[in-house]
Amino acid sequence: MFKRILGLAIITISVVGVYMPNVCAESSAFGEYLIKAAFLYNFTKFVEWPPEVFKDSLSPINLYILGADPFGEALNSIRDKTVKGRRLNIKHVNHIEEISGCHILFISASERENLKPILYSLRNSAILTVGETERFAQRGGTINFIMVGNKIHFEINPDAAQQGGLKISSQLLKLAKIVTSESRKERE
Amino acid sequence: MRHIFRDMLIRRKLTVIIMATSVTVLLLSSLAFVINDTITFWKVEKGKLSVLADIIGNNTSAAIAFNDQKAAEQTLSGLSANPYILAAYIVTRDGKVFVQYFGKNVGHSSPALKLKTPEDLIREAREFFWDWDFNLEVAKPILLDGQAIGTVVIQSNVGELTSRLKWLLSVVALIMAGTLLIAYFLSAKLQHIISGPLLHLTQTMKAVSERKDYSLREKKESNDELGILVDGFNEMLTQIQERDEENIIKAEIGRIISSTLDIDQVYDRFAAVVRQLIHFDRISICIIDSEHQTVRVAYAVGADRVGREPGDVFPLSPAENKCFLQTRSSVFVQTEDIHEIEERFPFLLPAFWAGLRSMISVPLISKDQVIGTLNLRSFKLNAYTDRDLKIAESIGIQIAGAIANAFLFNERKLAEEALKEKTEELARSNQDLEQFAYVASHDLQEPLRMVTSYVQLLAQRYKDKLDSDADEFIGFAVDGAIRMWKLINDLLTYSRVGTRAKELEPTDCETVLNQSLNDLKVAIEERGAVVTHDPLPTVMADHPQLGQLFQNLIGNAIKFRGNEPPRVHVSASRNDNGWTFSVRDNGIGIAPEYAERIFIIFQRLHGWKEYAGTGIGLAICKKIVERHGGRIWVESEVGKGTTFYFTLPASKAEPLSYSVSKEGRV
Repeated sequence: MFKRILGLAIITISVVGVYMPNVCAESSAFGEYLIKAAFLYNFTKFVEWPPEVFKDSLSPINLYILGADPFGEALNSIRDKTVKGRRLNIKHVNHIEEISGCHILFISASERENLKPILYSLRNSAILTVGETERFAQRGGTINFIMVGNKIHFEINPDAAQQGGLKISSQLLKLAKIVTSESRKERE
Repeated sequence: MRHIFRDMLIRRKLTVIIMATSVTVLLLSSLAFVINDTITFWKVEKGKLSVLADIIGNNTSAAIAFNDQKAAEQTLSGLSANPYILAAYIVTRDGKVFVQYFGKNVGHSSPALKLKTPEDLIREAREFFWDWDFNLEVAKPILLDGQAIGTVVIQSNVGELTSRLKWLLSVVALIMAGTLLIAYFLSAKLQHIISGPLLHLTQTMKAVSERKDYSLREKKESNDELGILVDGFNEMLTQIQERDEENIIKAEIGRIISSTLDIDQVYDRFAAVVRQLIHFDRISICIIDSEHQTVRVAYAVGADRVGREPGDVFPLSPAENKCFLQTRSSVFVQTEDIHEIEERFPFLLPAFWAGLRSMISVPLISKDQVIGTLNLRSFKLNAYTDRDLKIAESIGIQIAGAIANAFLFNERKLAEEALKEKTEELARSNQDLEQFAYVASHDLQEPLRMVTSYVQLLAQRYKDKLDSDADEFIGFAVDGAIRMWKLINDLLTYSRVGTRAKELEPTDCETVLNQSLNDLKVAIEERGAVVTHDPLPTVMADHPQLGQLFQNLIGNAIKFRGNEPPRVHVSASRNDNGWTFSVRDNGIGIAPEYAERIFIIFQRLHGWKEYAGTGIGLAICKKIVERHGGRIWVESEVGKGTTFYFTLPASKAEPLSYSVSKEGRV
């Protein structure tokens, strides 16, 4: 069963490229991260970075994985794919200091403890932060994977995106659960 | 069908043609309009649907990318705003239906409608612009970052189209009906433009052929082909009318010509009639004498200054000779250029000097002989046409015949007159001669009688008183005197046939014959002759002369006897013209070469001594027979006998069939 799903996913991704098959994200870790990797890739299509973050029109989009890598082999499905003419460059980093040039930062659940300072330091930067930690978006992350039933969904904090100068497609927003920053709430 | 159309009146044909054209044009344009409208409508609908599909594709690309069916469904459900949309699908690239939507009305509005699979719909959308289910299918790819991640398929019911088509067709039908009605009335009115003049022309033609009135003319009302037709018709009528008049005038000319043989009387009337056919300021007829190479002006009227008047005779010029006698061609010249006249027709110079500018000369030819020319002249330049020339030539033929006939008539008349004169002269001299002969023979009798009497007295008184020579000489003198007396007597008889003739009257030939036989009694008995005769008729004759005739012929028959005793038979036979008498004998006969000579006066075949006679007897016979209007001839064979025949006219009272056979003997 697992092998079938894996095979199907690989075929699907390699053939379709962007399409996420309508398979239920099962509890199996590989399946889940395969989907999440695809989502990461697809996010890039619905997010617009300010032009100054790219050197030129061919500069790659840098996807950094901060902390412990939960994807493993699943990232291979999206490695070196292109988005809007840009190659998707994947890199692993362990410290927030190493993130220069980053466009999408997946903050692993392993960084749960340091999340606050990390997000705070990225507060006004044009980096799409994606996490899978509870209340990640509310705490200042842009997109957070959540499980609804047995399906993978995501939350988006549009304010966080806006602060960094990122534009998120309304289509994407339509699919997401919209959350707001806690701090703002607090402020309000 | 074709046949029916062919026999249709032009009025109907025009209407049919106009209607057929209108219907065809209207049908085609309506069809084009409907098709164009439908295609446009279809295109617009397809375009709208495409836009809709594009929007849906755009709005669902994220949902597909993130595998969010609910969001996609929500987007699709927006289609419910359009009641015509039957179904919509979003199909992923691997052909699986991601989400689907069905129109509210699908279930009940068209239960028969079978929902097609998305694959079919995509195929239909891509492959056919139009298909016959009247449903519009559109398939649009869903693009995300330039890559197709799926397809939107929308199927729409264009029920609007059918209702629209129905409406269009009914409008077209209405317009068509109205247009046809108007076209019919218009064509009914407009066809008059063509059929009206045609109809009128037909009526005029009928009137012309029925009434034979060639003076009718059709009014021209337009300058198109109908106008040309009318012109042609009128022109034809003019020609027929002209020909008609020409024929009447030619007949009139013929009548004038045949009314008299005196050509001089003909000319004036001829000229008057010709004037009705051709205008002229001068007309002349010249007679060419080809033998003497002269031209005589036989007739001329008008333009006196030409200086050639009837009776004038001119030498035939070489140009005229060549023109008329050799080539026998007509001269047709209309010019003001004297050099042309000088060079080609010098004989026309007098006319040209007189101011005549248009000239026609036609050679008059009769029995292949050029006898003259008919000349028409006009002061006006270009007064004549080729038609005038033709008319001149044809009346030239008529007058040529008349002139030739007149020539012949004159010749015969002259010959007759000459003959008559000669005959009269001859008769007069003949009469003089007869008178002379009679007078001479009558006056000679007196001295002859004296000579005869005294010579006879001399012979009686002095016979044997003189010597024998004297007796012989006196005998010769008496003999000569007697012969001379006989000669004179016969001559007197001969001349009396003409001068002392009696009227012819019915005369019984038997009586006459018997008297003659009585006179010949002595001679008959002397020679032992037998004279027989058939019953003889009564004829118109001069009694004494007829007696003389019988006496001479029977006398000859007895006189020229052969060895046998003379046998003479007289008979008569009736034929159409009268009676033919024959006097047959068995005498010595006459050689055929003398058959004519014997009737000439003083011609004798035998010597005086052999057969006595003066040689006047048969000449008298001939003269008598001819005086009676008959003929005398002889048939004979030497040694076998002779038959004299003569004819006499029958008596008027006498029946034609007179045939009795009765042997008479004297």
